[in-house]
Amino acid sequence: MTGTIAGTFISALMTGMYNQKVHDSIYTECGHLQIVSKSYLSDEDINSTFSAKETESILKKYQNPDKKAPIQAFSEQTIILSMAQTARGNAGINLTGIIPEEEKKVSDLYTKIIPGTGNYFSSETTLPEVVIGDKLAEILRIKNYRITEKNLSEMLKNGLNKNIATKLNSLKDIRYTTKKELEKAIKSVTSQKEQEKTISLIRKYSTYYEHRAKITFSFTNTAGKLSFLSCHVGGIFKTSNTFFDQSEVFIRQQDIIKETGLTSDKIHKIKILLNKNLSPDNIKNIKPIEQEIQSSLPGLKVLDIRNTSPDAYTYKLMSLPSTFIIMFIIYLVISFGIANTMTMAVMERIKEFGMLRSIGMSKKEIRYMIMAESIILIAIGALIGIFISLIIIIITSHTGINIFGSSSLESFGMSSLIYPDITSGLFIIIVILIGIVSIVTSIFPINKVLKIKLTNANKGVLS
Amino acid sequence: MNIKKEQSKSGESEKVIILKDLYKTYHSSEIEVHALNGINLNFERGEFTAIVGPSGSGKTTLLNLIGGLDSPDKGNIIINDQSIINLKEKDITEFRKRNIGFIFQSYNLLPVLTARENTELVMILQDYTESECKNRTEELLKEVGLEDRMNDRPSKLSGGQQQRVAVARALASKPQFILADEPTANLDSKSTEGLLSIMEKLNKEENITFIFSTHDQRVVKKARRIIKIEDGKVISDEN
Repeated sequence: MTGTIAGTFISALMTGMYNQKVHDSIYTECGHLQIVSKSYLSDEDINSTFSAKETESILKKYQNPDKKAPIQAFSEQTIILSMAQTARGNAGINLTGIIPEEEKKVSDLYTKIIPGTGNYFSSETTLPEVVIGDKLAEILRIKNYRITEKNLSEMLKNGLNKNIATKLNSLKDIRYTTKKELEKAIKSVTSQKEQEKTISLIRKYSTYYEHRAKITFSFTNTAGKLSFLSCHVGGIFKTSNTFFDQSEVFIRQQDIIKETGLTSDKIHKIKILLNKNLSPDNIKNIKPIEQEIQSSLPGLKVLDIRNTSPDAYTYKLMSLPSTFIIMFIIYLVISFGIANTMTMAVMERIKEFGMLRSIGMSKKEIRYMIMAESIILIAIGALIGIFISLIIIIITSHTGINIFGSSSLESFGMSSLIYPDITSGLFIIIVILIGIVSIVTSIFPINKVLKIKLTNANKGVLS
Repeated sequence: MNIKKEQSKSGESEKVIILKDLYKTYHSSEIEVHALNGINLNFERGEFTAIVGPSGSGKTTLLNLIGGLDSPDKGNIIINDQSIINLKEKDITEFRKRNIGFIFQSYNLLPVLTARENTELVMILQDYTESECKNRTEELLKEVGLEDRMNDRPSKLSGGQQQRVAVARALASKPQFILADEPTANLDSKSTEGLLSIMEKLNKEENITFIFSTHDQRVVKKARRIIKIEDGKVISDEN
């Protein structure tokens, strides 16, 4: 039972983690399908463009006005490989030109803007506006840490001890450019015990994003010349994927076109979100429409999650096998315990088995009887285990669970808050494993019972 | 394999069990115990026989060999004109199922089953129909005086009552022979008296051969044939 609870819950956690990765990849980063030029696939060159108008007129056939139409929305993108620089840092990024209103229809990124950092292209500014990720903000030192009077009082409201707050006074208004620097400073004024309790709280409330920071982007234009573009940060997003947060920067398409030498009709990518009626998160369901669009656009390449987010696709593929491996290992370990329990249970009743064999029950029937007992024992345990774990999964699938710390999973492109999920495949795995474990765990007690001399068994002697 | 034979209609005595020169030695780590040292005996249909002797004399070993629960080192056991010592495991199990009823010293009832279910068990193994099982079980439990305890589990029954269920179980499939190893060892005088009366009655009514090992004088008095064995040898055989 305990094994089943542990196994089912771990499997649900992993399934939840993988599903979330796939969901985030589709609905935040890549969409269900993408269209690129064939040359862009091999060389992500600024000149590997295709006509937006022609392609979109074809795509519209699959879209409106029918609600059952396969395409829900699409959004065009102009992607420039660029170097982002501030006075304190730089990083290589993809500068993606979008039409914000269209992009909102295919990506929920606008919902992931950290409050207070911007409004996702809705501000009136003199300089072009960009939306960058939290990790890039950290690299470019736009994100830093400062303990101020204001955030100290917020910390106190949220449970910070007054003594610690007093100690933190000496760190007030000092700017720390990295998390490590801040933690080092905190450690210098507090004890080990105080740090354990409060360091995450202090870190949370002392995080500070420079308002409307300026970033300069350098890139090669269509003519092969180096161009520069200075922008204001109009929002900082934080997704479950740290790598995405580090490498993707979004800008209005009209702002980037001017500097690149591209025309407004020339784009690098179209991101497509399919209608939910198709259950498009399952790759099998989108193959027909993918093939249909591909045949309508012979000069271009239609990509699905296998190409646009191979890691998410791999996780999806791994989901069931990894569940099987986890459950197999758990059942393998508990099978030793079950075999021991079964042997004890059978040996305690050796007189009964002796009597049954004496009155004519064959060895085969004894074998089946012990095996059936083993199956019933394990199945009851597994059923109770499944029931309990289902309750836990139902609860945690609503609340989410953060068991790996705040950022360790995000560095692998996964959300740190996991919503456990369960699939029918898990139950099939459990049934198969119950069958295997029942047979395996009954072999030892069966052999033991049948080896005992019948005359001894009748007296309860175990030899 | 069913080696059950038609009973003699005339009631003439008939040798149904023949034991020829039986030897059995048990080997423990250091010593050898010669449990049987050349036993030669015959049993007729309908006998009510007690095998008596001190502890370690070979009584239980003898019953185990007759019942096919163990095999001799030497000698032959012929039951119903067929030697059972060379039968395969599967055949000897079938032989026991069809021909022999066992009564054990410590009853060996299944604690999770009721008196009725314990009694039915052997009939279920022999594929009797549900109604046959029900009728025979009720008849036997009534016969042994447990008609009002049919649905009780062994834990709710006294030792004497449990042994009576064991007798009913042994008789359920109408075997030719009942082998009882010290059936009264754990019973008080009253229970012993009751059990013996039942066994005697069933022996007469159903012409079943009863062979029991005992050193209980109350049982010995009821037996019509008394075989005394000592050190694995028959020292007297009285009718």
